Amino acid sequence: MSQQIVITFHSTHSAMAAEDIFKELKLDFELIPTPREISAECGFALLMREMDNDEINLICNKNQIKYDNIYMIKFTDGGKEYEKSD
Amino acid sequence: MIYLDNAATSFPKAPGVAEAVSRFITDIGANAGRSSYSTARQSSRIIYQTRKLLAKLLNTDNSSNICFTMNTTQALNIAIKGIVKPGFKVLISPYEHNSVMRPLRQLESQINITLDFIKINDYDINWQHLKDQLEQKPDLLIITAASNVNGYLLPYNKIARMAHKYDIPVILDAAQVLGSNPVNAKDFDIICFPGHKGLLGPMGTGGLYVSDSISLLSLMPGGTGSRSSSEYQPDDLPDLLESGTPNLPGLAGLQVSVQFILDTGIDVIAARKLQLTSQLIQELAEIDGIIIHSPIDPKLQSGVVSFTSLKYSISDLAWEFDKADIACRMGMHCAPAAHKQLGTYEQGGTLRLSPGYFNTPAEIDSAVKLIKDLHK
Repeated sequence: MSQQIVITFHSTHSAMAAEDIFKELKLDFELIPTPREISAECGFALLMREMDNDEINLICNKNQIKYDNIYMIKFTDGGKEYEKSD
Repeated sequence: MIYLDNAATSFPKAPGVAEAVSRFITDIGANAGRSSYSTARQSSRIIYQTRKLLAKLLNTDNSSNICFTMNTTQALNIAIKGIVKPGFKVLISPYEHNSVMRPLRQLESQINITLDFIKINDYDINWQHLKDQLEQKPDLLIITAASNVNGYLLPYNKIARMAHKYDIPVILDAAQVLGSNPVNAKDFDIICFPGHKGLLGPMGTGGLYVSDSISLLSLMPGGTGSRSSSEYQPDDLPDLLESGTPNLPGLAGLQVSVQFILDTGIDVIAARKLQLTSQLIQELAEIDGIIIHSPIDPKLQSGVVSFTSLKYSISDLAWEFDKADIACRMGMHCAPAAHKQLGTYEQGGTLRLSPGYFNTPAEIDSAVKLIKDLHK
């Protein structure tokens, strides 16, 4: 199911490398401050719009993107929850 | 001014470098790797893109294994002190700069390491002796790619290949060659380089490539913008070796200069430098009373000419160059080991002229004419 996804990274370099690949693939994404609910590790993360969890996993693995974690955003009454992908 | 001191630092810089440095300070100015606002993103991308360009120059896909420092000396200290352990046996060339010798001499007195030198006679390596030395299994080999004193281009690839046959890690000091001679990341365990010499970038930039086979400790742990919830240094490259705010204006300039090197081609740059160096050597060789202390064969040259005079001291010669507004360097060139090898240590060193990509044959003629007139 298509939804919003947040990808976190170990380092700025890895985030930039992922940004390059996602741009090339013309994916709809944005660099955002890492949501504090999920991590305090790297200052920023990538927010993917309209993305399927399996699809993003596949893209990351295929392109050897070094990410920390992938989270699916669940919109709840008046808020957001971040569910960690396996 | 005629600038012939490119072995110390390049001048002028590549086109667009000064503008990029200035533009960063006036228009961007944000720290990198910490925040996601627009100028902070631009700063992060400058570092990322510069790393990618350097990876291309070093012929590797592992751009994250390239870490920035303020110069080659800092890179060499990180490399040497990160690897060398008490009791280590370290094999080095007799042409090493003090950026290698001083950290090693410090460790020699602190943790009892031993140093051994590769034997080189008249630019001819004693390969059998080197083989014997490698068979004694030193823990580390450190070689300069080219001498900053006289331009002697060591067969660094062949030496590294031999050392690797014996599983000995190799650190390459590429201070005098990166930007004009090929250096492939896969051939070395660590490569240390400046941004301001052959790469034609700003001072205060440099770095090291660290292969996956090597694990180093940070000599300067601190804030990296990553793994910020931990009080311990991250162990992934490049963050492991890059704490604190970097020289972003410098790296903005380096990005432009490395792009210039790649666009121009290192073979074109090397050909220009060698053409000027050969001209300099040939014209100097015709002057009575001048003794050249550099290899004559262009195949052994990286583009640095050292000489002395039978008529004048090197300080008097340097003074004459100053008065004629020609930039040169005289003395030990921070490399007493190399001068001992060349037999120029006791006399206080040599006078060094080092042409760069932007010099012209007419400038070389002017420098030689000055020396010629003094020796009439």
